[in-house]
Amino acid sequence: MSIKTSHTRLFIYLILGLIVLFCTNVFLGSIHISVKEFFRGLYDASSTNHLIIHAVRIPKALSSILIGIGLGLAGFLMQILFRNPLSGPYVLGVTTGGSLGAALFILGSALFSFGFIHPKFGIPLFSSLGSLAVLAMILVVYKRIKDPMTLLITGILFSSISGAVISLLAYFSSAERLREFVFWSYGSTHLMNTYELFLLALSCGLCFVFALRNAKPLEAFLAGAVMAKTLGVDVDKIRFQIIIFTGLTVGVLTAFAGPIAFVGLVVPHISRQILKTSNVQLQLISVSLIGSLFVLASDAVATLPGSALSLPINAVTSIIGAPILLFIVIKTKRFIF
Amino acid sequence: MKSYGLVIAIIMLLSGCNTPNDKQTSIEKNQWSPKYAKGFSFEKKDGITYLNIQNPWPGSTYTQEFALISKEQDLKNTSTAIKIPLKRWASSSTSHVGFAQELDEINSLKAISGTSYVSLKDVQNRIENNEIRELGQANQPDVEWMISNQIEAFFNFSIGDNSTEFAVLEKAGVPVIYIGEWSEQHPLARAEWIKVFGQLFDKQKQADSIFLKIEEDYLQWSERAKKRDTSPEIISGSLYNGIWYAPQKDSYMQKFYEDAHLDYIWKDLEYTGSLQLDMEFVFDTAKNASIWLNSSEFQSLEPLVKLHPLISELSAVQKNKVYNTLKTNSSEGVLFYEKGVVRPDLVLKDLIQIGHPQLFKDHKLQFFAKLDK
Amino acid sequence: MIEIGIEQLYFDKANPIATGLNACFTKGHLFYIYGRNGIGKTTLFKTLAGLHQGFKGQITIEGITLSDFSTQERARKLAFMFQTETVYPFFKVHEYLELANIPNDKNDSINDEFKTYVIKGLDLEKHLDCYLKELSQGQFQKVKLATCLLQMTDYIILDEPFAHLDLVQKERMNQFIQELVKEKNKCVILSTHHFDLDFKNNNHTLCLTSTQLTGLTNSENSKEKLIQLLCAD
Repeated sequence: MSIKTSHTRLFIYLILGLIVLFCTNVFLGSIHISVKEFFRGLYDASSTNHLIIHAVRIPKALSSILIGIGLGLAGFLMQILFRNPLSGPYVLGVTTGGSLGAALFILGSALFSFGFIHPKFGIPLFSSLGSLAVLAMILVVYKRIKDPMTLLITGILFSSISGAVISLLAYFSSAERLREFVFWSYGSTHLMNTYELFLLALSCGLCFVFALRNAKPLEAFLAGAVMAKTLGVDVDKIRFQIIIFTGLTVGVLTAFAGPIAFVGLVVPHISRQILKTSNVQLQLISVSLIGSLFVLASDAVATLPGSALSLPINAVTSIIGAPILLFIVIKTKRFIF
Repeated sequence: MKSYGLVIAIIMLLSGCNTPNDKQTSIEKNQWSPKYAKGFSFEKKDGITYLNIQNPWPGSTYTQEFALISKEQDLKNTSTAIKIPLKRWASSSTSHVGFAQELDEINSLKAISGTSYVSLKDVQNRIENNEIRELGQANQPDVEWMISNQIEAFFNFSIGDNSTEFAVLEKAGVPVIYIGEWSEQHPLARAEWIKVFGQLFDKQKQADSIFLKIEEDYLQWSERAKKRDTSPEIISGSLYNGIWYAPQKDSYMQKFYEDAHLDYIWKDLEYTGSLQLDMEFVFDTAKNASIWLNSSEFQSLEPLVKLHPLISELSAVQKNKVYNTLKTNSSEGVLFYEKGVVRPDLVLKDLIQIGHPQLFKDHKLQFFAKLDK
Repeated sequence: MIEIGIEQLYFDKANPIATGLNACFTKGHLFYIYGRNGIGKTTLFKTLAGLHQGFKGQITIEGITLSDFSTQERARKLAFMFQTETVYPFFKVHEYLELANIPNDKNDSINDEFKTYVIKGLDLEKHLDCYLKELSQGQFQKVKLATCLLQMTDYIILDEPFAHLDLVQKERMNQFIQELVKEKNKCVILSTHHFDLDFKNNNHTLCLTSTQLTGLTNSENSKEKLIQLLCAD
C-alpha cells in the first residue's frame, strides 16, 4: 500500500477530528454539565452525571461512530458494485425489508400478539428477519440473472413491495402503533447496549476485512466489469460477496438504529473528493473515518445541546447531507463515475 | 354602614342561589347556553327546540342548526330536522358510547367506527351479537349502509369539515350532527354534552340531573383535594426509541391535574403539538416527580425499565407509582376515552386517589392502572 | 499457440454471425485482423476472453481447452484490451497500470525493467501522475495498452488499439508492438481498419468475413484482394 505524505496528513486530521467530535458528543447533551462536573461525573460513580455520561452519552457516541463506519462502507461498496454514484446502502432494498420487519412487529401486534416480546428485543429481531428475507431474495435473483442493472431494479421493486405492505399495515393500525412505527423510522443512535454495540462492530468489522482483502479486485471493478474479468477477477463471485457483506451490515444497522438516511450516499462522495485516489484500501479507511465524523456531527446537532428537545437523526443527516452532495455535484460539474 | 353591607350580602346570596335554578327550569326561556360547554346551545322558536352546534373543531367557524321535532310533526321551514327521540343512530367515535350508556341508550346504537376499540362491556356484548355493526373508518364511514338501514342520525366526529362526504346522507334525509365534545377544554364542558344526547333521546330531565350530580361531586371533591397541603409532582408520557413523548399541551388534562391538586411538571413549557423530550432533560427535571401517568402499555415495571438506563432512576419508578390508562382485557378500548368523557367526576376521583390517597381510602381506580413491580 | 476452430459464432443459435473461423496464432508473430464493422471481431475476441459463450467449436491454448482455464489462469495467459466502458476518472495513470498485477498472486511490483520499457515505448513517462480524466482519448488508449502489456502474458489480444490515435502515434504504437513481438516473443492479435499492410517479419494479415477467416499472403495485389474480401459481405 503506497501511502503518500499528503494522505498520511489527511488521515491524521481525520483521526484527530474523530477524537475531538467524540469528546464533544460526550460532553454535550440536552442538559448542561459544567467542565468540572463533567470530569467528576466521568470518574465519580456517586455523581448524578455519572449515569448520564456512562449509560447514555458514551454508548450514543460509540454507536454513532459504528453507524457511520457501517453506512460509509456499505455505500462505498454499493457504488462500486453498481458503478452508479446514486447508489446508497439502501439500493438493494434490504433496509426496506428491515422496515417491513419492524412494521410487522410494531403495527402487526394488533393482528398477532407479540405482547410477550419486549420491543427492545422484538424490533431488532423482526427487522433483521425482514432484511434477511429481502437479502435472500436478492441473492436468488442474482444467481439467475447476473446483471447489476437488473439487480438495481429488483432492489427497487422489493423496496416498493415492502413499502406497500407497510402502508397496508399502517392503514389498519391504531394511532399509537402508527406513531411508534413512525418514530422508529426516524432512526436513532440511542440506547445501544454493549451487546448491540458488539454486534454492530462485528458486522462492520467483517465488511471492512472483506473489502480490505479484496481491495485490488474492487479497484479492477472501478475500471469496468469487462476489464476486471480480463484481469482474472471472478466478477460474479465478488459481486455476490459484496451483496452478502453489505446486506448483512445494513441489516444489522437497520435493526438497531432504524433506517438512517443519506450517510451511505454522501460519505463515499466526500471521501473521493478529499482523497483523490482509486486505491481502495485508502478509500476504505477514509470512508470509515468520514462516515463516523458525519454521524457524530449529525448526532451532536440532533441532540440540540442545552435544549430539552431533540431532532430525529434522519432529518439532520438529510439536511446536512443533501447540500453537501449538491455542492460536490456543482463543483465537479458532473457526477464522478 | 354595617347594616347596608349585610343587606347587600343577603341580596347577593339570594341571587347566587337563584342562578342554578334559573338555568335548570329554563324551558320557558328562548335561548339557553350550557354552563361550561362552548360547542352547543339551545333555542326555542315557535314552540320548536333548536339545537345549535358551533365550532365543533378547534379554530373552526362551522355551525349547524337542527330543529328537534317529534315523529309526527312536520317542519315548515328550511332547517334540518331531527326526529326525536332517536331509535336508530350511528356514530364515528367511541367517546359517544359513554354518553349513551349514562342515558341507557346503548340499544338504539346500531353502528360505530372502531368496534374493536370499544371498552364498555354492554356495548361489546352487543357488538359480538351483531347488534352493533362496524361502521368503517371514522373519516370514511359506510354511508350506504346507514341509508339502507334506516339510521335516523349520524353522530360525526371530525377534525375538519368533511361535510362533502356526507352529502349523500343529507340528501337521503339522515342528519349529520358534528359532536364536538372532544374540542372542549374543561372536563365538565365535555360531560355537559350529555344534555345534547338528552335532547336527542328525549331524556332531557334525566340528562340534566345526571350532569348536576356530576358537577356537584366534581366540584366538591376538587375542593377537598385543594385543601391538602402538598401538591405532588406528576409527569406524563411514553418512551419510544429513547425519546420521551409528552402528550399534547392540553388544557383538558391540565384542568384535571389542577382540580386534583397535582402539579404537572412541564405545565409551563411553551409548545404546541406533542413534546419530544430528550431523556437527559426528563431525568434532570423530573427525577423527583412522585407520580408517572400514561406511561406505556406495559403491565409491570420490569419491561418499562429496560427501555432506557435512566428510567430506573426516576423517583416515580422507585416509589412504584407508575400508571397507565386502563385497557379492558378483551379489546384495545380505553375506558378513559369512553366513560371518562362523560364522568369526569370519577376520573377526578381516580386522580385524587393517585395523588392524595388518604382522601378516598376505599376508592378503587377505574380509569388508571398501576404497574406491578 | 492458440488454435481456434469455430464452426459458428452466434448470439442467437438460429442466426450465426460468422462461420468457419479456423486459425492458429503462435508466439513471436503479430496478426492483423481486418473486417467490416459488426462482422464479429470484437465478439471473437470476447469469446477468447471468456466473455461470450455463444459459439460452436473448439478453442485451445497450448493444447488445453479454453473452458478448462479458471478466470485467473486465463488472465495469466491472455491479456485483452477492449474499447471499454467509461472508467473511474480518478485513477492516476500509475495506479491504473498497477491493476495489471492483479492476476498474479504476488504482491510485489511488476518487473521494473519491463515496466520502464513499456512506458517508454508508449511515451507515457510524463503522464504517470495524471488522472485518467486529464488524458486525451489517444493517451488513454495507450495507457490501456500499457496495462494490457504489463500483465506479462504470452498472448495479447487488442480490439482496435489504433482507434483515437493520430498518424504519428499510430505509427509509433505499431512499431512498438512489432518490436515487442520480435524481441519478447509475444503473440499479438489485433483488429484494425488501418490499410498500410505490412507483411515483413512475422506479421500476418487476416480478414474476417461472415463465412471464414482468410489469411492473406504477401503479393502485389494483396490490398485489392483485401478490399474485395471486405466488400464481399
